[in-house]
Amino acid sequence: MNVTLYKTSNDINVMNKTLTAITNPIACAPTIDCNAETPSIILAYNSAYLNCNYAYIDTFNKYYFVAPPTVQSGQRIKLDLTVDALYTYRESIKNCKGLAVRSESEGKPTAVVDKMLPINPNREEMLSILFDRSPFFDGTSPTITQTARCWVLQTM
Amino acid sequence: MLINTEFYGTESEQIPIDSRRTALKTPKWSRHGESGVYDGSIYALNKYYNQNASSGTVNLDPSIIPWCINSESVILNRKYAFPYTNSDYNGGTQSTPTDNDYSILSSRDWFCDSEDAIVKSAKGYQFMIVGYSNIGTSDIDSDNPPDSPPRNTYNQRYSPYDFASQFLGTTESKRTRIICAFDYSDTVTTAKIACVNKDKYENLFNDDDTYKFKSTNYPFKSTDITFYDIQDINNIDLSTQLVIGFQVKLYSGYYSSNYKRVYLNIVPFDGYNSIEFNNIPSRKDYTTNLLYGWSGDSPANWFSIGGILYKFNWGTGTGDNLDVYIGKEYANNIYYTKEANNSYAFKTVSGDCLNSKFIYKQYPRAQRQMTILFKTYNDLGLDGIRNFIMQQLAYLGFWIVDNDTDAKQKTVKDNHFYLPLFDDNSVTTGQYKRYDEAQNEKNFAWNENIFEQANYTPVSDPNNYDDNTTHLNTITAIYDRFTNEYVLNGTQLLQLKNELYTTIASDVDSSFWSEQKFLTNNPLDVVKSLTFYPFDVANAAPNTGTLDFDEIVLGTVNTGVNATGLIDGVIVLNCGSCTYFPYYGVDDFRSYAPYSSAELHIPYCGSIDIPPELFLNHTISVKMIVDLKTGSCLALIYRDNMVVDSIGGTVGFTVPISGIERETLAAAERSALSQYKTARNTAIANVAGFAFENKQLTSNLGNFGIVGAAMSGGQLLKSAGQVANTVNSLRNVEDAQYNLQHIETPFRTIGTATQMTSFANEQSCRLIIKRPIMLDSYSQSDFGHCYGFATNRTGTVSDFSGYTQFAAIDLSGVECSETEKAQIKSLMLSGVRL
Repeated sequence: MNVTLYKTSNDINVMNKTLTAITNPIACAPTIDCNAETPSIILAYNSAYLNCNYAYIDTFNKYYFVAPPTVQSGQRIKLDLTVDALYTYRESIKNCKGLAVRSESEGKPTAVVDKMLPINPNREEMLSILFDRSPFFDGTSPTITQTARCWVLQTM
Repeated sequence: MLINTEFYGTESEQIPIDSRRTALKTPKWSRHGESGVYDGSIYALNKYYNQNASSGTVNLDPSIIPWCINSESVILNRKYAFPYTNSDYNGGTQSTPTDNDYSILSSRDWFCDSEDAIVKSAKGYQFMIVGYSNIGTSDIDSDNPPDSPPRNTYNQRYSPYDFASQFLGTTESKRTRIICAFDYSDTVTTAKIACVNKDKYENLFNDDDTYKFKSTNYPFKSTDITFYDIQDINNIDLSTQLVIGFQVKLYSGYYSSNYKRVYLNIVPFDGYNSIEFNNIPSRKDYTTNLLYGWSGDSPANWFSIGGILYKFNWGTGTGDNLDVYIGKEYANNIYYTKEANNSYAFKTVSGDCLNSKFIYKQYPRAQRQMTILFKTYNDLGLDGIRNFIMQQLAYLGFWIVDNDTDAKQKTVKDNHFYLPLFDDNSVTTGQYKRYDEAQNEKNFAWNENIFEQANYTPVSDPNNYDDNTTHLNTITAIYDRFTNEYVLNGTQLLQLKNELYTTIASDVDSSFWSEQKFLTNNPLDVVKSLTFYPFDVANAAPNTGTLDFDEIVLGTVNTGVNATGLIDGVIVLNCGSCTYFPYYGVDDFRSYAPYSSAELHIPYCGSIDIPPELFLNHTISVKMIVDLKTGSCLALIYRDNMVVDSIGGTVGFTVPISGIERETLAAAERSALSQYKTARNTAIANVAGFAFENKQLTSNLGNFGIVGAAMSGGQLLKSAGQVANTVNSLRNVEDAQYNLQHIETPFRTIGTATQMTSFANEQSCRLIIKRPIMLDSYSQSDFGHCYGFATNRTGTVSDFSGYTQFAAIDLSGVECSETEKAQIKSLMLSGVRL
């Protein structure tokens, strides 16, 4: 089987990782029990391998996180790998249906209450709108004069 | 479901409802892609009528066209298919028909698209008139119409075609029409698309857009037309063929002669000997924009794909109005255009029609020798044409099949069947779904066993929802003549006061006089109330306004003071409006409670909560209803045009006028009368001085003084009574003097005014909005990148991007181990970056 070593700066939860190849595919054979999800491989020592944190094994067709390499005697370097299922199966995952409860692509707060949103707990903004008209006397118009018919007299 | 085919003798007699069919109460459906107003069940019935055209008389018996469920549909019976006299046929002598002369009973009358025609059509019945049979040798005895279609020994009806075969009229003078209404559940529709090959038409202007049929090819024979099923539409070559129309075929379930349930095409004419355009047989002077296929003398029902766009006028035409007659129009006189041209518009007799409408029935009484430009839909392409036809079929509401064979043989589960969709109002939308996608549609209950098992009873909303507009009552003048109301200004008020204290007081020579004039010995008692309003009442009152001045009358005494008689008891004041703008947007939780709130201050009423969920992004307006008799008010808060809340208050400042009560008016009058005459002026002066000396309001209330403390006449009088009762030994003079001091004088003292604080407050409504603000450190983009925004949306993973956290995800399509799935799910639920 062949293993290709990469390095990536992406977090574990990034689906579309950016991989920078460190090596070409390296032929190797398992010298110990090797399962597809947590394989360990031993390679001839190469200082470049010390920088890798990501790998691909063609036999399993999977991508792996690489733990910090272990340098062994005999100029060997041991790499312990853990499968990155998110990246390995990303194309299939994209077609899966789900219920999202948080999403950056929604753009901005939605109608769903977001308790994580940093609303100022101590202050609020107050605005006021004066209606565009009033039927009552005020300081501008119409003023109360002797001619304003504002008295209603009710008699028998 | 069997068909009810009863005859009835009168127009107004209703068709009995087949009890089995009531279970299939049909939802409202749209004939035109518009909201329908039709409701009711579908009844299948066969009717017919005769017409004897050659004799010049119309032998139509409206009684055999019951069709009547309500009185409006009775109109159908009075509309005859043909003109009344033979002369009406002949060109040149024909009078202009009115809409009343149109019949919708012809085989080409599918559904009318004019408002008038809709009214005339049988409401609630999904019916189609499918043509007439002209076979047989004898007329129908209209006096004794047969029970049609005949029943077999199982009491089951034959198809209308079978029925038609028994009825007769071999000549033009004998016409029998089969008029059927089709049970929705029993019927499926399909269409045949007709194409004309290119060798039958020629370009008109060599522009490859407009062309006409070659005269040598007219009339078309059926062999000139290539017919396609909808499913085979892709076999049409638009470069060499012109799609000119389609025929709707209806297959309905009937019992065949061997008592088997079959689907028979109730449009019985599959083949055509010839095809003519725009011609109605036996109505030779009428044409339509329909196509007609002929089988002998029997026309079929076709719908043209397209419509009349324009007329080129020559001869005796009168312009663009199609409201004239034409004669039989030959296809070679009709020009066709393949391309849409926005300068054209579809025209009907009574107005523009929408090309989305199913019905092309009109009788466009175009003029003879007129060339008609006919738009085809070739430019839509095959997909567009297919969609158009399918949409028209879907409007009808029946199951749709895309080919003839399956319509007769297959069940609705077949891939070629489509269910038309209804909206929430049970109106067809023109859309449709395949059987396997339509399981949840409310009309899905109709299945292949539709005529036996369907129990669909659509739930219809019984309410008539209006347009969310509050209509206030129009207050007319309230003529309360038991009391008088006047509107005064400050000057008039002073005049009145002066009149009271001078003229009237000087006229009073006895309390008896006062009672005679005012029904009280205190003239001031006739003043029930004096109320100040912070607006010009006469201007605000619609019925008072600029009335002539009324002289103020107190009791029976004319004061000589002119005011404005108040007629209105209630007025409505417009207090303005504003818009509650959604600063954070209508779809942002921050716009709503408890994060945001609003309050509306209304003068003279107070404050009222304005819930954002109700008012956000709407116009808030206030109208105040003022009761001019009491000074109270009711502020109505509008959300756009509808009142959704109210708050009461007081806008009128009623100036309290406290009267001095008398326990025994007669006794006090006798004892104090003599002293009163001599002490009158003093008493008046005392009261008046008391009033003037105790003003509490400033001049903005006019010159009428307001007294701070009211003298309670009741208390004084009681004291007088008590004294009189207990002091028996007082001499008359002393009693008289005592009583005089305490007697009710013909003037009233004035009490304390109220609610001036509201007048000093803001006089306009004010909306106060409180909304949240974010912490200073908040960055929307950074926050979204790190946390995402709260949502509750379903979709595929590819619908999202950036930081996304799922609450649930279905990884069924991912072929991996369970361990890997667990890893994926864990990451998706804790948040991933897509």
